Amino acid sequence: MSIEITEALISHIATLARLGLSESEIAEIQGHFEKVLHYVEALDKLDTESVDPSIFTNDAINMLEQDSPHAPLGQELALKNGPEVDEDSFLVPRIIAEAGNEAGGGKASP
Amino acid sequence: MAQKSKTQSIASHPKWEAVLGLEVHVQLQTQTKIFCRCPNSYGQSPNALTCPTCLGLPGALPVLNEKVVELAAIAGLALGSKVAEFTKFDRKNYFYPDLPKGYQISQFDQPICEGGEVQIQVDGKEKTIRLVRMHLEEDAGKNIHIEGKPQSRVDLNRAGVPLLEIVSEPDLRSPLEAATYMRKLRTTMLYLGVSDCNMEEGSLRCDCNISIRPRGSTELGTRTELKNINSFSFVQSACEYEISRQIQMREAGREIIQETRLYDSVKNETRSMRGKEEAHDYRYFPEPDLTPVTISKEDLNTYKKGLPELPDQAFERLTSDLDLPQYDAEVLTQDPEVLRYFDSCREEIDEPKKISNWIINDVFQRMNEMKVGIGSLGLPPERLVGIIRSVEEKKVSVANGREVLKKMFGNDQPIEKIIEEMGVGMISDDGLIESALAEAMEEHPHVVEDIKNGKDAAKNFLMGQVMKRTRGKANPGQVMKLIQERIL
Amino acid sequence: MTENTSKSAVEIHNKIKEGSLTSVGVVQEVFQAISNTDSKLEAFTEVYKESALEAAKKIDQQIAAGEDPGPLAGVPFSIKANICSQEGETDAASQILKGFNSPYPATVVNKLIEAGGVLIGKTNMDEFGMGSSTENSSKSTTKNPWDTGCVPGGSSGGAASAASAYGYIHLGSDTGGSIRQPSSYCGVTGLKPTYGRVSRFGLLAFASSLDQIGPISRTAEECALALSIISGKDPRDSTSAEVPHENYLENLTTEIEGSTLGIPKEYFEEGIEPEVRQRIEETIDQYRALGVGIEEVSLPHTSYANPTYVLISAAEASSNLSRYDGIHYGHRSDQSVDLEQLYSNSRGEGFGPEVKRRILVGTFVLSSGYYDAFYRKAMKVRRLIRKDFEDVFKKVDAVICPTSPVPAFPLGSRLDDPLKLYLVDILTVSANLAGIPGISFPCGFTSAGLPVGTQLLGRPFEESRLLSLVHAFQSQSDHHLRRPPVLEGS
Repeated sequence: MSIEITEALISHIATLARLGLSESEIAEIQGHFEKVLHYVEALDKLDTESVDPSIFTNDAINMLEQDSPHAPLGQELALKNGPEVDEDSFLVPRIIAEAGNEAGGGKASP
Repeated sequence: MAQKSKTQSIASHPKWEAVLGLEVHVQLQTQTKIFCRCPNSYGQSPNALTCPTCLGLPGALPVLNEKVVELAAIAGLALGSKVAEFTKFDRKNYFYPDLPKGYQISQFDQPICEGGEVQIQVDGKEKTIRLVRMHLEEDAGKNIHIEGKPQSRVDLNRAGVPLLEIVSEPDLRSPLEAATYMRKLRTTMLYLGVSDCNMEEGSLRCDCNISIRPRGSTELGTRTELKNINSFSFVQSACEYEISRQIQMREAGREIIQETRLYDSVKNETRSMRGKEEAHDYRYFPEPDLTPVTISKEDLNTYKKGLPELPDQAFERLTSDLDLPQYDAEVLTQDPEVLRYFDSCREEIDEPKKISNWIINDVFQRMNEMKVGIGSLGLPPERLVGIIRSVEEKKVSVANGREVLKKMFGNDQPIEKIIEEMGVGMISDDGLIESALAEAMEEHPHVVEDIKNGKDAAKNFLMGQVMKRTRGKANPGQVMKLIQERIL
Repeated sequence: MTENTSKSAVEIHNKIKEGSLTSVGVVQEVFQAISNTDSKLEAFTEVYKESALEAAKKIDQQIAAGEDPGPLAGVPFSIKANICSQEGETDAASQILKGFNSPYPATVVNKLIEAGGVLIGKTNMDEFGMGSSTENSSKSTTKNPWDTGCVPGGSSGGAASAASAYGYIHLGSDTGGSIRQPSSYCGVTGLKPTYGRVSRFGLLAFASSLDQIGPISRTAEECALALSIISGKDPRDSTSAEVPHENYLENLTTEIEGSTLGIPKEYFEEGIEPEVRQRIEETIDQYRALGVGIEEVSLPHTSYANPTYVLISAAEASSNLSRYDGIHYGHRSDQSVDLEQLYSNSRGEGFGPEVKRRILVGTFVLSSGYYDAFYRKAMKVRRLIRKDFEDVFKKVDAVICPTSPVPAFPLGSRLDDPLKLYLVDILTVSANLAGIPGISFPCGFTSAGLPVGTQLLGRPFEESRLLSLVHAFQSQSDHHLRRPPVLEGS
């Protein structure tokens, strides 16, 4: 697969990864991408048409746990490492309210 | 642009047809979260129900709750889905403060259930809504905006609550169908005990995919998605708004843009979230921290045997076996708790219609006033049966019986005592009735004449007079008997 | 060098148990050695002197009271900086977790402490395990005790350097060779267990399907002692395997006659430095002399392993490292007015260059349009690599090869070209892709005095066999007994 590694592509990927990059970093990464993609091109030589992807490293299945509660960590420990917290919650820059009263509403992502 | 007043119903729009598909999120009724054993409980102090796993702390790992597999399989069996023999989890990657790991554990290409269907009835017509799939995933926490402050709060108590997402085919054709479908799913989930479906607490929410097309066309139009709608009436009004917006766009010669829109229930409009979407690409890949899950035929058979009666079966039983009118059956089967209550009453007294009348008229009135479920009224089924019996046994009249019932909620005094205290016990004493009748006959001699002349309606008048004089307590059968004896 | 730090953990434990040594004495001595030497090595990022001495005191009291404080009683151990402990900070040598104090300990830490082990500190590493030289650390640059101008290898370079200089047990983690390669560079024994043998709960994930915690020590015997304690099913790690518990120390034997080792010809084809090749060939000869059957085998997809590893590890890392976003813990940029800026600034400021590269490559290979060509393709090749090993293990009990194509290289020499650094992993990544156990042990030195490591790869859950093979070798050789020059004059 031949792909042109443009600055725009790197910027797009950096946006997806929420990774702030300086201009010099973008240029460096661009070069790195080219090398890495060239390096992994080796895999193209292999015909894997009929090969099943190896999704799990071992054969473990059904590692489930019973539905009985354990004591949670609790508010204080939960918030202990928070960079910005109030008495019971983590604080983040204001999220533009969506769908009425509750910002975000949970399940929905912007 | 789009009108806010209710426009012509899309179901009968001459030119356009709406095509809707719903993704309904049901919170599963478990003791603990899906991937950790923090309590699954609503309304606790923010962030109190969290642990390293649901906080997404470094090094923490998920472990699947076996109960969610069972509940999802039960839901699948009940809706005729194919329950997977092998299912796995995937990561859906995106950033949001209510998602502490930066990815949501969900299911992508091997969901726990595929296919299935839901029967709905709209305007007296039966319709089948096909399901695409159902999959398990974790709920996110909550971001709460603080009024007047430049910050939002993040509460992760809900992070990791188990969700079953039920995805329908685009088989719905109107907002009413959409709301009806969602109601039907709710009832079914309640019957199955899979979810408490408490909409105020967000246990049941949905995303709507909406498009329109010229009537007669079989192609799908460009769709928009409305996110996170949490009431039946919002489903209906949001879809109505969005459909009329799309019709106006198309009629103005404009294209519909595929996008996610938000429904603002206060303004009753939908708003574009345009500009935010390009930053998203969920990059699904198999979750390496969980093992796949297999569901054996034996387990499925066990679940199948344990399936409770479902709403449609209950409706059939009430109408066919118990001869209840469709209306009664529909009302009684809306809520499995009500149906169980009804059935408990029937075990005591074989009077389905009478029980139904008392529940639908008197018990429901109380439930609406108190805004509680039937189980929280302080009126066990045998007590309702008690008052029905008292009326049957002529210890109290129907009208007085209904007054007595009002005093019985949350009150375990013997019914006889309540009747006595209220002074509404039925009078069967011939002497008392006779004296009241004599007074009435004396006061209304022409009525007595009318009766003698064969005017039956006059008997009822005289009966009314006796009731007035006995404050409704006279045994009507006995009154009638005495009228016959004294006049004819 | 002090007296006891030259002894094995097994020996020390026995002496503490019988009362001829105290744990407090042992712990004091190791802290003395660290304070003498670690300014030159910078193997440790944190030491927990106070709590360690307190724990040691308790152990001594228990022994004095006739109680059994467990199979590791009184023995010092350290953990890599990506393993959670409530003691100190757990930051994986990253700025983004600066000051992070874990509210819970990793399962392995719990197990070692319950067994009577004394946690003495955390060791340096490449940030989040991404690197092969321990130069990508926000803390310091760890040096090789055999030549402080050389790298100790990585990413568990701190643990290997510490094992070499101070002895005892040092837990590392291995995603593509991060236990074995630094063990080889520092002349110590390092075991990467079978995937699922040891709980990952509390290990800061780099690539979840590849990561595994394992011990680094001077000898196979000490690794066996540590593995006996840390292995086993953990209800909090779904991928930990339900296989019977083994006492690896008791299972240890020098009776290895009749075993067969395979020489995978692909591992000797190119890029192996002559001196490394020579040492491995000598090792093979020694095994032959010990009655071990040797035959050539083929692992035909070997050359595809590293590209496959590069793709899979980056993909998983890009997702695993999403949680470091400045919202709930860790570094939050103060240069942010809105949420989007908070994310990209916090992450941009917090992660080092190599971590950024891998996150970006990983994000790319999972992104829409590229998933099949890169990620899915790599997962398919991974199947072929696993199959290679399954086939070979039908013929031989284990394979033998160099751990790294080169010995420890000079500090800074491979920093300019990340890809060049990736190449030192080519002989170790296959074990992670296949989920099989691997061990590296010292088998000699180069003319410059740098250690060379031999690697054995075995069937899943056959750690006992690997440990015995190494134990038998170590009972016939003294490479593991040589002490690094950094200790001279300390």
